[in-house]
Amino acid sequence: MDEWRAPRDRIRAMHTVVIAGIVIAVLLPAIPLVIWSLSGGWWFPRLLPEQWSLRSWRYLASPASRVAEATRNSVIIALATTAVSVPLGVPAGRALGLYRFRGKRFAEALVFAPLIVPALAVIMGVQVVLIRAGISATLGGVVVAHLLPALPYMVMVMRAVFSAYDPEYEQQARSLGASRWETLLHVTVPAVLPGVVTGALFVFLISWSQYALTLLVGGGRIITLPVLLFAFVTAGDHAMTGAVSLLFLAPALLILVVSARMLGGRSAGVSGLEGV
Amino acid sequence: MIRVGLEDVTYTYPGTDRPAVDAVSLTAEPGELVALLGPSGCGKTTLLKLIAGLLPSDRGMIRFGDRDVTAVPAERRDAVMVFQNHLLFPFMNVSRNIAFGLTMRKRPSAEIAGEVRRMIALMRLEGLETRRPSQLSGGQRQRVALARALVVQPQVLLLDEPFSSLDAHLRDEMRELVLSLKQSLDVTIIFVTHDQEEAVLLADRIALLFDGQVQQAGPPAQFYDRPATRRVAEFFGNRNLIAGTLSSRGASIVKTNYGHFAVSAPNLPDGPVWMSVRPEAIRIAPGDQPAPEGNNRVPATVLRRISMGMRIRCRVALESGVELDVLITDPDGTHGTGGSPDSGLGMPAWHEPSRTVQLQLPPHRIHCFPRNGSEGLAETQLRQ
Amino acid sequence: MTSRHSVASARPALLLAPALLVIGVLFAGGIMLALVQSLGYLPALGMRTLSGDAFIAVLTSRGFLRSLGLTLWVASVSTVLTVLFGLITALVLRRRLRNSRLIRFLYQIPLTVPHLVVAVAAAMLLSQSGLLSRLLFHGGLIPAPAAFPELVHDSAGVAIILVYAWKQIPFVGLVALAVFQSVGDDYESVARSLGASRVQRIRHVLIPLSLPAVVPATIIVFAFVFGAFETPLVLGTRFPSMLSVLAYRLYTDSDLTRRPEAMALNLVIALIALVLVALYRGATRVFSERRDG
Repeated sequence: MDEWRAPRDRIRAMHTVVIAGIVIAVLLPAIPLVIWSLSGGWWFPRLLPEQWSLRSWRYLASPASRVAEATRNSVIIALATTAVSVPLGVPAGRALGLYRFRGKRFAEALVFAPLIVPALAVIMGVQVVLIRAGISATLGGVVVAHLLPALPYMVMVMRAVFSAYDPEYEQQARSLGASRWETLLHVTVPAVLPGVVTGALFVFLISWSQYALTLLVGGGRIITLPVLLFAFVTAGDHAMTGAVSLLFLAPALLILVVSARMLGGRSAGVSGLEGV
Repeated sequence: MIRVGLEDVTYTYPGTDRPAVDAVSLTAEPGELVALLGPSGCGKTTLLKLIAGLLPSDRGMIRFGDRDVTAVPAERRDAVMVFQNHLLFPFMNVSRNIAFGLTMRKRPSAEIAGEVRRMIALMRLEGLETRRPSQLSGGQRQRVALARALVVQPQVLLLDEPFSSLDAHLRDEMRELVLSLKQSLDVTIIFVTHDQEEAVLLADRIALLFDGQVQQAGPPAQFYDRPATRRVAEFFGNRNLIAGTLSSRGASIVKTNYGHFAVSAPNLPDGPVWMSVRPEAIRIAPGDQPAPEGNNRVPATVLRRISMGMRIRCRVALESGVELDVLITDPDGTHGTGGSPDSGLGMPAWHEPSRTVQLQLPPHRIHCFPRNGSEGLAETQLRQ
Repeated sequence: MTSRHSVASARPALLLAPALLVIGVLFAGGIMLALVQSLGYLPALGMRTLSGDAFIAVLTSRGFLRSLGLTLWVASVSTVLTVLFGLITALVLRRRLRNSRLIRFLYQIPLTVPHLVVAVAAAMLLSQSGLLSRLLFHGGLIPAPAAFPELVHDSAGVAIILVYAWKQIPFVGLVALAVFQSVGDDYESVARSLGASRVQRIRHVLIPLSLPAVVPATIIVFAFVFGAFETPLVLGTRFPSMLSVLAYRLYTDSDLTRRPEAMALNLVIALIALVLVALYRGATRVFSERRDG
């Protein structure tokens, strides 16, 4: 048995090292965020704060910090972006995933390009029109800007969902006597719903994480969580930076948990993650 | 050529309770073509992977010749396995696929090129050298997979359902190719199949597996004439089984609840047995004629019949309810005088359904094998 | 309802129209507007003459070349690290993930964490007074914070590279894992049976099998780092800055006449990214043709 076992033990040890590395690497960045958010003072070279404090969390909850306003704006913008992206993205994904038609390659290129070309570079050009239209520095203007990375992402997710979907189920339902509407309700929707929900969650996340476009279009007047976070970073307030970071991070983890549940252990839509 | 010997080989997949391969002992003589036969899930592919070294056996010993290879990992075992769905590497062309094993052995490239050319000629793959697997037909893929295995000159070639993914005519072609390879190459071949006809057609020896255990191993004819158990008989399509009790005082007699049958010395202890008799061994005559000469004459009723060209297969019931298949090789010949000339099917009527016929079971064509106590007479009757 | 292939083009066109309209207006419109403005046509600022001066100014400036160099450097190094560790982790995890949901969950966390948070955490960890520096000091390995290497706000962009590698390793890893899971263990078994050692199996079988998925993923990874904005804003130096940051600085410069330069730079960024788009589509097509024959 030696020839079987000896290399296996070495490989097992190597695997353990890599997995331990993954666990440490993933969790490490959270440590200073948590410690700083609970510190009342933490000078070099101390390993732990000389004073623990809930100051930053208390300040976070107070109106003076504008955290409530920023969170509200972030949620409104992300929900609005999702509310526009889903109804536009699902049918477009169906067209690209199910059908062959003339101009399909052009359509795919147009949808795919904004996922690669930095949105900031493009929206800077659009900004002049947003100003002219009077929606720059409004929530609506920010949502328009967020659509550029979010909507193509939703289309690509739905394209992947629909290319794994067999439309003959619908024909079967029709031939069994279901109306067009009943077919949609009882066949199509249940089949693609997990994909739609996952896509929607990640679209929400794309908008939620967006800093550059909000900064550009909001012009400092639309305060979202990342804008507020960046202000604390610039001000050098480590305690507040840590606390706001953790708050900002929470929905991202929640969405990962939910989407992992939805997809039953499979990875949370690899096709989708490239947009985040 | 090398002898492959398995002793008490056992393997249980992690996380399962029942061994997939359970104490298998088996020998393949040098140059033999051995079939591992069995229904799906019987452990035959697992056994092949154990021989290949792709799974580590929990217990037992595997020998190639005198060499104990139980602990030798697959890559150094000199036993190459060809998988069911050929698994050509999709990113390599035909030549590079064939060269793979030699490349892994770091042979000089001139030698590799020569060996690959030789295999391409042997397998009649000329002109396909630069094709990718996706550009080949099913038969070509299978030949490339064989070439890829044979180029490393393994002592043992292991084939997992090698022909099951091919169309009927390609399958025949490939079977012949394997038989000719066996003659031209010094290699012991073990192959897995679920198809008893294929096993019989190709193998020098068959090992039949059920539930991870070898039920019977031996030359193909044995499985028809001398099945070791009822399951073996049934797997080979033998439905003519009669339960009885053997007693050998003086002559060998099997007592059943429809009379006594004389059998030729079965070399078995007295006790519960199954009698099996092949459909073509049973003699049959019209009911209104004197029964055929000899022992073991029984009347029966025709249930249904199927024309098989020149022959007719009849399903008949004995008085007790036991059903047998009988093959009539001479439907309108000497026995046919009493019947009407035609019944619409081109068959004389004496063996029409519901007619009475006379059967005779020649003692020397009856094979007896032990019957489990649990496989009782009552059960036999239920089964009918 | 008709079958997949014979659908008249009216139906997909109707399904696509709303999304394509929004994307087209924003994307193509943004590029066209950037082009117009880069040529110096900014009526709101009273600039109405067309010229290529902005392009010349941008392309010949020392800042642009340094920024381009830094951007390509950061993108290349983090892409190499990402693919390397993505493949290593995928190779290790391919048997484990089936069993451990916790490891699977942990592995995916970086994908959803916003860049800004990762950048902030990286600053707290890697700066000269950061957590790692404190740990080394206590271990007696460095005498003072200044002895800790400059990883943040440095000219090599080390912290930026690490942030992007951290974010994207699981992306490449999951892409490779999806391949490993779909091809199963049998190709590896074939290779073993033909005499391939463990290292040979990885090099000659597993990696080539994963390339049709990993190469396009690599291009996406590179493109993302190429357009990096908030991470270098937190972790980068003021000079040279990465291209997106430079464009933003030019755009928000108090000297409004620099707007055309910002737009010209945006077009250069978009052009390079579009080349990456073409590469991506080319790569996926080459690999799918190879597979399908």
